[in-house]
Amino acid sequence: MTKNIFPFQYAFNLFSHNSPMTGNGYNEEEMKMVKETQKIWGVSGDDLAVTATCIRVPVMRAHAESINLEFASELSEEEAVEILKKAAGVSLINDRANNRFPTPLDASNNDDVFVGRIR
Amino acid sequence: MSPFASPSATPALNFLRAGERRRLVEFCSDISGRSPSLRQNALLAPLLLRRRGEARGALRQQQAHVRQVPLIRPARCEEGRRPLGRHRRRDRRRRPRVPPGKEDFESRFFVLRSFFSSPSFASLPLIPIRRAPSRNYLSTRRGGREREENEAAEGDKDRTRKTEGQSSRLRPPASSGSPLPPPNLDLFFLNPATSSCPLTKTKTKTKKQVLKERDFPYSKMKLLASARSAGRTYDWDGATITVEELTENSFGDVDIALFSAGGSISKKFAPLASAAGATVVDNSSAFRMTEGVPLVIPEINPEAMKGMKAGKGGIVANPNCSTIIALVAVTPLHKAATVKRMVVSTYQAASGAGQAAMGELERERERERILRVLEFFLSGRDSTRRKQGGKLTLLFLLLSLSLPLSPHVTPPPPPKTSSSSRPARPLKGRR
Repeated sequence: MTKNIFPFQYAFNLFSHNSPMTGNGYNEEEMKMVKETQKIWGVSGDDLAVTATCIRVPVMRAHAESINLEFASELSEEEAVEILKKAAGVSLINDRANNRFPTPLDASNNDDVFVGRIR
Repeated sequence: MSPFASPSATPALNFLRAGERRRLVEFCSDISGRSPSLRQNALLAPLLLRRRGEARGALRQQQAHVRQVPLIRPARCEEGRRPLGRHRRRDRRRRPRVPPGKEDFESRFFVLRSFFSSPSFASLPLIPIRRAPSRNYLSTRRGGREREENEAAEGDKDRTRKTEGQSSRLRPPASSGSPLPPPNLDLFFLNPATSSCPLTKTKTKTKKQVLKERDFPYSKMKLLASARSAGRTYDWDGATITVEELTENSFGDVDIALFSAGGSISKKFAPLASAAGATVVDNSSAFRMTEGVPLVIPEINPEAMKGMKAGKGGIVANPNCSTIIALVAVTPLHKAATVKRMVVSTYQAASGAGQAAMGELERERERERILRVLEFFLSGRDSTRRKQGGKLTLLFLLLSLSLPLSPHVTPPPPPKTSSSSRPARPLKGRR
């Protein structure tokens, strides 16, 4: 009756993403992020370096990501916050004083991408 | 992975007989295939209450409400259903002949049944039990006699007799020898992984809900699936939609086809649909990196699908979920200052792997919970174990756990009860 989707116990555990491993040590999920980003932005690998580590966590809904960016030109934190405030499909939860940042439960059943911990 | 995966590898289980151990293993593997129900938790309640020494008083209070329900007294369970009173004297004489452990178990079974008859249990919303005849954990004998063969069939009869006077609701509808009942699935959540039913147009409830929330303009919705799922009906937006079988000729009258049934289905049918004039929005990874197929996040690059029109063919790919999340947030920054380097770590949820994966997480959580309870009873901290009752406690636990296991369904709203002073309603016929 049960078909196991994941190779490991999922509850109270976490593991590297269950997509197949490719030849370069990245799994397919990670490579998708690299290639799809390049295609959508229309840039080549020379202009944009992307690396990803994809982990499955025991959360029911909503993926979370930590992203570190390096820009070609200067971008201050305030500017970044202003840009994200205006961006389509983005909601900010960035309350440092109360340690209140996005959680998967905030994002469940919600179309927006929730962003926080900008620094 | 389960400590019960191999009985011999679990020293804590050595005190069990081979048959009991086998049943325990079967039981645990069965748990992993089913989801919790409210009823199951309700059944654990008297057990845990009893451990705190609170159950007796509470149950006596509850029994005051259910006098009209003939309760089978512990010693009488041996005799089937003898009228109370008439043979009372004889039963008293018989009682010393019941081994202490046996009586212990009987009295616990009595506690359990008292709980079934209590108003608090009667007011719980119930889920119909569907059990395979072969998975009959209740066939565990009261006296501990081993009956390895035919126990499923006999267990059914035995249990029916034991519970007859109490509650026909406890009797599973599946009689021995009947075919395996179909799993009780929430139909809206069919997906290829669980039911090999690739619905190509608007696969899930969520998708259909989004269509409704966004007030997406459409005149007619068509649901396509494998032959196995064809014929199922869904009530949607005031109409009943019948699932049709996905064939090469399915797309003649379709303007927009949402494909979400995995790469192989998309690879085969998306070009056919496109040729037939449907604009395909493909959720799989089949065409994402294909030259000429736009990879679109509506908030980010709607211009990539410029020139395409619904009903004029063409394929649009939808990026991987992690990519979408990252780029919705990062692209505005990229436009402002040009990203040179991006380092991403993801924490991905079960939903990304589909409904079956979410079910797996839920089942594992429930399995862990049950294993912790079992562990507690096996650990020796349970005082009754020292009085040769440990085994019986465990069997009682299995009894209480195995009764209500049913596939996860949304419980119906609780029935309205007219007043709290009303005695327990008859137990049969409740859903």
